[in-house]
This record gives sequence, structure tokens and C-alpha cells, in this order.
Amino acid sequence: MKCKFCGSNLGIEDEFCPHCGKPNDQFEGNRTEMKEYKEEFEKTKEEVKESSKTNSRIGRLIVIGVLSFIIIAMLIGIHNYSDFDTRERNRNKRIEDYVSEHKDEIDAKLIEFEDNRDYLAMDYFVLNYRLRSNSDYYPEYGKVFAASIQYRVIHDDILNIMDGYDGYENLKDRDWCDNIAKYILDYDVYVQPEYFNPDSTLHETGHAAYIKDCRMAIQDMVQAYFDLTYDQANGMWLMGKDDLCDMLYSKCMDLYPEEE
Amino acid sequence: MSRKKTKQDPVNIFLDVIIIILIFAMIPVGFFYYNARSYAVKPSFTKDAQMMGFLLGKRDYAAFIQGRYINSYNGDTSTDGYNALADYIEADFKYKIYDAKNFKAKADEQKDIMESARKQMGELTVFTDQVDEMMGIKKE
Repeated sequence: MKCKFCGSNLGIEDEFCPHCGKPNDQFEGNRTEMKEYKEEFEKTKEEVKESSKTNSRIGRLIVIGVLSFIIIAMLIGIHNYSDFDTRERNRNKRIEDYVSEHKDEIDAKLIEFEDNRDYLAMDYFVLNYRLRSNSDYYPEYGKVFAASIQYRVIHDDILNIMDGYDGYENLKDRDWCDNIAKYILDYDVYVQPEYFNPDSTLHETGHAAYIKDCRMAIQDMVQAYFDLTYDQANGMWLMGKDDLCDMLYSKCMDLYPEEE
Repeated sequence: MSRKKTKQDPVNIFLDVIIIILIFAMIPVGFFYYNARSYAVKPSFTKDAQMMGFLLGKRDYAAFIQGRYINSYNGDTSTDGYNALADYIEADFKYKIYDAKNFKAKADEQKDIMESARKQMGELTVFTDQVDEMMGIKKE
């Protein structure tokens, strides 16, 4: 902008020309315009400041929301995972799904254990995949599973007598003998009758032979570990529970004296 | 060029404090969540090496053998040494039956299993004498 009197350069805020001293007639207009610009600038600045403040608050609130959501979700997870019923339900579901998806493998394993007369492996396999509780699977194996559990319990009780383990209930040898007697006699009540039943479908499969062999394996085990004669072992199936328990315990006291 | 120090928004300061508290709260909650979840997804009855050692120390051989089977069904190989010792105990147990019944082939089969297990159990072989003694097996 130039002075209209002397043609010198004028600043936008010059009220008078610095060279000729004449008034700058555009000064008032410039001043008003400058004021408006300044006000506009300050207003925009305030708006930007406010908007930035609001945005940073929103950002922080979002972070707080996300963190709170994660914490709440984890707390719900902890509650669900810690609740026994929920945990067992989920676990059962997972196992059921696994068994359904891997039925061929499970079938093959059951056949393998049955053929090998691997009673312990069979019982722990059944326990691991909960095949007894999921009775929809393998109903035809019911007696095979029952036979295996009888064998395993007697096996474990004999081990407990020998190794001196008292269990969580502080059981003594007499208690273990009592349990062994119970499981021996239960075999002929719950498992073996199927073998003697000529109409049983078990005879169409190898299951009947399995439960017969399992019974013999239990008899051999008890005979060996309680130092019985063949006749004593063979006759134990027909004894009363208390008499059988007494016989086993009397042997037990000599063979595996309990430490006080 | 000096920069004018701007005054912090007190609301933002308050929100920052909450964020820091939440981050610190996430650490124990995350830890408990991880533990609860690990326990819940773990197959039932599996026993880790520490537990197998505990059972062995308590001479609870029945549970020890159970642990061996369940671990192997769940593909857990972290307890291989203990598994070999469990195989040894089981074979030793069967050996006594077959030996008493004079089933020589079966007894020899168990002897082979015991020998093979002994090679795999590393320093746990020290327990085999204890097991043999318990079973009443005489050293050859």
C-alpha cells in the first residue's frame, strides 16, 4: 500500500505516512478489518482449543472404556472358570466334542486295550474320556468298562497296602482289604452274570471273553499278592464279604505289616 | 523460541489417573484370569512333573500310575522320566503275579518292560530298588 500524497510505502497499521506525515485515509478501514481478523482468529483459536480438549477427553474415555471392558470380561471369565459346575460342564462339552470328532481313534484304542487285556489302560482311558458317564457312546462296552474298574480298584488297593499309603481318609490295611473284598464280590453281582447269560449280546462280541479273563486276572492278582492257594483264591468269589475281608487281612498282617 | 507452558486440563489429568489405575488393575486380574483359564482348559486328572514328584514322595503309586496313563492320553510328555518309573512299577507288579503263577513268557515280557523303562527314567532309577523291595522282588 502506498501513500496517495508522496507515494511512499505505508504499513497496514500506519495512521500517518512516516515520510510526508499526511493521514492514511485507509487506516480506519484497515484497523476495523484487523480487529475483525483478530477477533476471528481468537474465536477460531478458542474453538480449536475446545475441540482439542473435547477430543482428548473422548480419546481418554475410549481408552477407559476399552480397559474397563477388558477387566470386566476377565472378571466374568474368572468367575466362570472358577465355578465348579460351569467348569465341569465346559470340560465335559470339550471332551464330548473330542470323542465325537475322534470316534475312530477311540474305537481303535478300545479294541486294542480289549485285545491286549490291558485292564488298567482301559480303565484310565475310559476315565480320561468319560466314556462311562457319556453312556450314549459305547453302551455295548458297559460291562467291559465295569470289569476294568473292578480290576483297577483292586490293583490300586493292593498297591496302597504295599506302599503304606493311607489315602486322604487315613485308611488302614483293614479298610483297603474291606474295599478289595467288596469289589471282588461286586464283580459277580454286576459284571459276571452277563457272561453266564447265554442270551447276552456280549457273546456276539469279544466282550464276554474279556470279562471272563478280567475275573481270572483279578483272582491271580489276589492270589499272588495275598499268598493264597489256588483253592483259596478260586473260592473267594463265593465267600461272604466279612469272611473274605478277614482272610485277606490276616494274610496282609504277615506279608505287609503296617508301620505305626 | 520459547514455548508457552499450557495449563493441563484437570479433567484430562483425572482421566489419566483412572487409566493408570485401570492398567495396574489389569495386571493382577490378567494373572488370575490366566490361572483360572489354564486350570479350566486343562484335561481332568492330568498331573504335572511337580505333582508326579509329590505322589512319588508320598509313595502313592496307584495315583502315580494313573498320572502316567492320563498324561500320555493327553500328549503330555513333560513327565517322561516319571512315566518310565510308573511303567516300571506297573510291570514289576505284574511280574510278581506271573512269576507266582509260573507264566514264564508273560513274566519275561514284564522283565523286558522293566529293563526298557529303567533306561528311560534317568536319575529316577534310585527308586527302582525301593519298588523292588516293596514288591518282594529279589535282585538277580
